[in-house]
Amino acid sequence: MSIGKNIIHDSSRGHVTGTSVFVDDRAAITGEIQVGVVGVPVAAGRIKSINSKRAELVEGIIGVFTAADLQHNQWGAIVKNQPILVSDVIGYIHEPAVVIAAENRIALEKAKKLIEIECDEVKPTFSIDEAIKNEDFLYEATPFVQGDVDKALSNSEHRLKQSFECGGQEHFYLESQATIAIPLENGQMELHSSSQHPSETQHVVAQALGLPYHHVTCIVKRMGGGFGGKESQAAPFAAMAGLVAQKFNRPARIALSKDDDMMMTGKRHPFKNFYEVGFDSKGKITALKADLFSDAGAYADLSSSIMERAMFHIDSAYYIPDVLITGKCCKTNNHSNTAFRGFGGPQGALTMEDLIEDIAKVVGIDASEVRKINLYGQGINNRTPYGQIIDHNPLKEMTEKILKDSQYSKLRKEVEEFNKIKNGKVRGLALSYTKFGIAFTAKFLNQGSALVNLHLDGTIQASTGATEMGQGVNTKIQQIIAHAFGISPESVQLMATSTEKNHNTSPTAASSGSDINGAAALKACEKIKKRLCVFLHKHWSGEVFNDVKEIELDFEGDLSHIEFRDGLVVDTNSKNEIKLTEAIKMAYLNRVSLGGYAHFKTENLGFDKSKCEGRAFNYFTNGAAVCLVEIDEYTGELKVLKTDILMDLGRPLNPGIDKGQVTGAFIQGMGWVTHENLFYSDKGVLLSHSPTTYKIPNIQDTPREFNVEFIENHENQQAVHRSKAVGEPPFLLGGTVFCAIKDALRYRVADNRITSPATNEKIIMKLQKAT
Amino acid sequence: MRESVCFYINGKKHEVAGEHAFLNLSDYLRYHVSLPGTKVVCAEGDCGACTVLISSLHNMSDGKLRYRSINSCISQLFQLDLHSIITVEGIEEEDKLHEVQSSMQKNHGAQCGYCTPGFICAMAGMTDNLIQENQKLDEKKSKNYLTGNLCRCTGYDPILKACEEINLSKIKPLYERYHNESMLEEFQSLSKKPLKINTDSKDLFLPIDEEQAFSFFDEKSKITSGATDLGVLINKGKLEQQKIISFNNIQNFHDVSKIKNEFHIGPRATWSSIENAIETDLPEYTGIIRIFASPQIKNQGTLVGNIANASPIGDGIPYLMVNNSTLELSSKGGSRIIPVSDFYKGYKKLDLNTGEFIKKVILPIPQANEWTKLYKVSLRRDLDISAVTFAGVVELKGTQIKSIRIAFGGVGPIVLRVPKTEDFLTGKEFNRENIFKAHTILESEITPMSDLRGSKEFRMTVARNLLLKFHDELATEKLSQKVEVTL
Repeated sequence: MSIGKNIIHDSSRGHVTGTSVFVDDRAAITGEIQVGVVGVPVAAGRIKSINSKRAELVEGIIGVFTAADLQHNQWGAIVKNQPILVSDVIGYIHEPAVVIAAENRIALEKAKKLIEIECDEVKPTFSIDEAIKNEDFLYEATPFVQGDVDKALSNSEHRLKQSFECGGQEHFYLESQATIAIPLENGQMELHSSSQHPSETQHVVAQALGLPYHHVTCIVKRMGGGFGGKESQAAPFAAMAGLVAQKFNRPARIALSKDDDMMMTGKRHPFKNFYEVGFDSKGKITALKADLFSDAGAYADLSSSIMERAMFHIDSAYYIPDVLITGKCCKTNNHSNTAFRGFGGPQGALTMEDLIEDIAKVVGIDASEVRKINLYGQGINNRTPYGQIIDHNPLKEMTEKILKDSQYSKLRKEVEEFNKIKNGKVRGLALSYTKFGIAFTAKFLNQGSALVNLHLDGTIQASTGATEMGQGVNTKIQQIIAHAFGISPESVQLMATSTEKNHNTSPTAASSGSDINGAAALKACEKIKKRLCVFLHKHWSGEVFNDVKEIELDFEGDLSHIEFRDGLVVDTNSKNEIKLTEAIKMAYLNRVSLGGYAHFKTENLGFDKSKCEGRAFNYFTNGAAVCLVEIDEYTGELKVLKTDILMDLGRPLNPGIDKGQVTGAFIQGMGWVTHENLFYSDKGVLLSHSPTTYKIPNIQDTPREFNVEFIENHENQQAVHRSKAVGEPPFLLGGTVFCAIKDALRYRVADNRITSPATNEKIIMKLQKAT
Repeated sequence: MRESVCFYINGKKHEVAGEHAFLNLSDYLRYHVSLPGTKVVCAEGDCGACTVLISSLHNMSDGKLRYRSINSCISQLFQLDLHSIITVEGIEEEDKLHEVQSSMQKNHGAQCGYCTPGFICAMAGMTDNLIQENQKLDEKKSKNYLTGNLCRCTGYDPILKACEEINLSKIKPLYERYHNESMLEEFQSLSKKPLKINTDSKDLFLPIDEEQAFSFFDEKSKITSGATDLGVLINKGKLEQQKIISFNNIQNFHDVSKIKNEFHIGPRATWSSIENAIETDLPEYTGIIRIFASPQIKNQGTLVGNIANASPIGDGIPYLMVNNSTLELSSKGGSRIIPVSDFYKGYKKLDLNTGEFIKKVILPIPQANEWTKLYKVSLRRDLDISAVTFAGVVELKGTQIKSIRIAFGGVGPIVLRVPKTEDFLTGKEFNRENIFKAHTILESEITPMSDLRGSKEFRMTVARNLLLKFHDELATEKLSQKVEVTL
C-alpha cells in the first residue's frame, strides 16, 4: 500500500549519480546543428534592417533565419499576438529576431555578435504608471462585485486609501530553455523539449513549420525546474530548433545560456494595486475597493488569467462583505511576463497581508488578532468576492495550532523586550496565510489523461499528461498505480510525457498535475482491474470464458470482493487467490486487454465568467506561517530567525515530497519579497541577468529554525485519494517574511510602508528617516 | 618541455594538447568525454551546478591527495594540469551509492535534479575533508561547505536534513578510493618539466620556476591565477586570451608561510589555503573571507588575483590597506616592496611596471592593542558582490584614539583609505559624538556611484553607518560600554 508513504522520488537515483538525462545531456546525433538566437537592440520601435552577412562568413555558420522563414509567426497561450521572431514592431529589448544555425558552439557564439539589426527607435514604456497614464492595456477583467462598496466604505469607522507595489521575479529554473528537434521520415518532427506544456509546444512548432499536428511529437522526459517559466515560453524556442531542423533535414539543438534566457524570457508580473479599505475599531474589514494593475510586458501571454487569479486571491484568507475589485494588464516594453508559481495569487494575497499590517497599526491591535477576526468563518462569513462559498474551512483550527506551536505570544513579548534595548538590531514578527484556489480558472484545462500498460511480468509502464519538473508528480502517480494493483512502486515506471501517448494535454501548472493526471491514472487502472476481475470471477466460478467477446466493461455483478494486494489477487468471498503475474498471464492467453487509457475531468466547477460569480475552484489548499526576523539597523541586513509553517494538504500522497514542495515554495516566496531584485537600465536592459547580480536565496538565507507541519484532514473528497494540491499554495507564505519586516520597522519608524522586494537598501533608507 | 596537459578524471588518465587545452573542464566533460552529469547553469562560477572535486601535489595530507570543490565551468583544462579530478560520475562506488548520495535520495534532497550533481560533489568533498581532518559534521559546517551551490526547488531544508543524517564512519573516502601511487609519481616527474602549448592564436606557458617565468614574460602576456574572473570574461565572450602564463606549476608560489609576525602569501596561494593558515591569528579577516566567496571560488581564486584584478569593490583589499600589508613586486632586475595602500593609482590602474608581477603579499599580524573590524554589505549576505566594504583598525590610548586606519570598497573608483577622516579622529575621544562629526568629513572623501548593487545615497548611508558600527561594536565588546544605538 504505497499511498501516503514517504517513498523516494522516482528519478532520485539518476539525480544523485548524475545519470538523469536532461535535454542538453542527450548525446549529439550525427549531423546535429547548434541553434542560437539573437534579439533586438532596442525596447521599442521598428526593425529597419537585419544584416547577417558578417555572421554568415564565420566558419561553421550554415544558415541565418528570420521571421520570413517561418510558415506561421504568431503564438500565444490565450491570444495569439506574439511573434516567434519579431520582424517589424518591436515589443521589448532582446526580443528574438534572428536564428543562427552553426556546426559548433564556438562558431555560434562568434556569429551572434556579428548580427546587425538596425531599428527606428521610439520612446518605450517601462512602468505601470506610464501605461496607466497612456491607458494602454492588453486586458481588462470583468470586475468582482459583492454588495455596495461605496456605501460600505462611507459607513466605515476607518478608511485607508493607498497603493501597494510588488516586483517581478525571475524563475531561475536551473536548466535554461532547451529543445532538440529531430526530423523523421515523411516530414515528421520529433521534439525533445524542456516544456511544461508539450501539447502547446507541439502545436506552436507544427504551425510555425507548416506541419499538421500528427507530424509533430513533443516528448518531455523531465525539466531542470519550471516554476511556470516553461508553461508558455518553451514553445517559441522549440520552434526555432524545429525551423533549423526542417531547413537542413538534420537534428538541431537549442540550449539557451542563462544570460540569454534571463534577458529574453518573461517573469513574474510586477503589480501596482490601488485600493481603499474600510474597517472598524477592532480592525474588522468592512469593505474593499481595489484596482489591480499588472505589468504584462509586451504581449498578452497568460497575463489575463494571471490578473484574474490575483483578483481571486486579494481576499487572502479574509472575509470582506462589500467588495469591488477591478484588474487591468498594462502593456509595456518589458519582456512579456508569464506564469510563475502562484500565477498572480501571491500578488493579490500579499496586497491584503500588507494591508492587514497597516490596519493593525491604525487600530493599535496586534496584527495576528486583526487576522483572526477577519478569517473566513465556518458556515458564516464565508462568501468570497466572487461568490464562491468556502466550505470545509480549517483556518480557525489551524490558527489556534500555529499560534500555540510557534509560541507566538511569547515571541511577541520577547520581540517587545528585545527592541527596547536598542543594540543595533530590531526584530519583527508576523503571522500570515495562504488559501489557494485549486483549479485552472479556464475550465477547459481541468482535464487529464493517462495510459497504463500492464506487462506480462507484472510490471507497469504509465504515461500521463503531467510533466515532471522535480515536483514529484511522477512519483505520486507511481504510488497511485502501485496502490491500485497492490504492488510495489518499483514495479511501476513512469514514461516520458509524449504527445503521441497523451494528446491535448493541459500544461502541468496550477498545482494540478497530480490531481488531474493522478485521477486519470487511477481511472485507467480501474479499467484494467475490472477486466481482470471479471475474468477471474468467471474463472473461479467455473464459467466458460468466451474470448471472442470483448470483456464486458459494463459487467454489473458485484466485484468488490476481489482485491489486489501484496502482489496477489484475492477473492475474499471464495478465498480463492492468485498471483497477479499469474492472473496477467492467464488473462493475456485469453486475449484480455491489459492496457488502459483514461480521461479525467474535474467536476463541480461552475464559475460564470460574465457575472464573475460561482464555483471557480474545486477546493482550497490552506496554510499558515509565523516568521520572526531580525534586521541590522546599520546595514538593513535581514536574518530570518524562525519560521513555523502549518499546511492543510488533505491526506498527502507522499508527505516527503509534499514537505519539499512546502519548504521550496516558502523559500522561493521569501526570495521574491526580500532580495530577488530585477534591475533594468534606462534602456530596459535587464542588468541582473545572472546569479552574480540576481540573488535567489542560498543555503545561508534559510530560517535558523524551520518547522513544517501538516494538519490531519481526511475530508477532501474533491481530489484523488483525498489529497490536496501543493505546488503553489505555500509560495504565498513567503509573504510572512515581508510582513515581519514591516512589523520590525514599526518599532523604529512612523512610516513603515515599504514596497516588495524589501531589499536591505529599502530597509536602511526607511530606517534612516527615523532621525 | 611538455606539450600536453595531463590529468586524471575518476581515476582515468587524460592527455590534452593544442586548442583543446583551453576548453573549460565542464565543456570537456559534457561534450568531449561523454560525462554530462556535470551541469552548467550560469557559466560564471556563481551557482555551483558544475562543481567537481580536484586535487594536486599542492594539496596533500599524509601522502594522500586532499580533494576540494571547484566550479568546472570557469576552469580551463591547462589549469588542471597534474590534477586528479572527480566528477559526479565518480562518486558512486561500483553501483553502491556514496553515503551522501543515499542520504540525499532518502531525504528528498533532489527535486528537479539539475543542481544535484553539484551538491553531491560538494558534499562528497565535505565528508572527505572532515574525515581527513578528523572533524565532525554539524549544520554550520554543512552550510559553509554548500554556500556555493544554488538550489531553486527544495528551499535547502531537505538538503540540510540529508547532511544531518550522513554517517561519516560509513564512508570510504575518495582520497583512499582514488589513491594511486603511480599517478602521484607520474605527476611528480612531470612537474619537473615546464609546459608550453602553442596554437594558431594562443601561446601558453606553465613554468616550473621564477626564472623560466621571466624568460616568457612580456608586455603581451597575461598572468592567470585561479582565473575565477578571467574564466567568466572568456565564457561571456568579453576576452580573447592570447599569450598566457600560469604559475600553477611553480611549487613555492602556492605557499602561505608564517614568518615571525607576518604571513607571506605566494601568488598561487588560494583563498582557502590562506583562510586555513590565518584562522587563529587573523580572525576578523578569516570571517570576511568566509562570507565573501563560495568554497568553490576560494579553492581556485587567489588573493593576488583579487589584488591585481583591481576591482573597486575587491572584498579582500580593504583589510590589507588598514593593516599595513605590503606587496613584493618582482621583475627580472630584482624586486621592490610597496604598501597595498599605494598600489592603486586609479580605476584599474596599478603601480605595476611592465615585466613586473606580484610575487608575494606580506600580511602583518596585528598587535593585541590594535582592534580590527571588517564589514561587507550586499543584497544577499553571502556570496554577493558587495555594495560597500569596510575595514577599520583602531588603537586607543586610554579613551583617546591613538591611531586609526579606515578603508572602504564600493564608494569610489578604487578601494580607498580615508585619510582626512582618519586625521580628524586621531587624538580625539573614541565616542559616538566624534564619529557623527567625522561623518561629514567622510562624505567629502568618498564618491559613491549608483548601480545595480545600490544607489549612491544607499552607499553613502551605509558607509556612515559602518563607521558608526565600528565604534559601537568595539565600545561594547572591548570597552564594555553600554551603547544605545540611534542612527
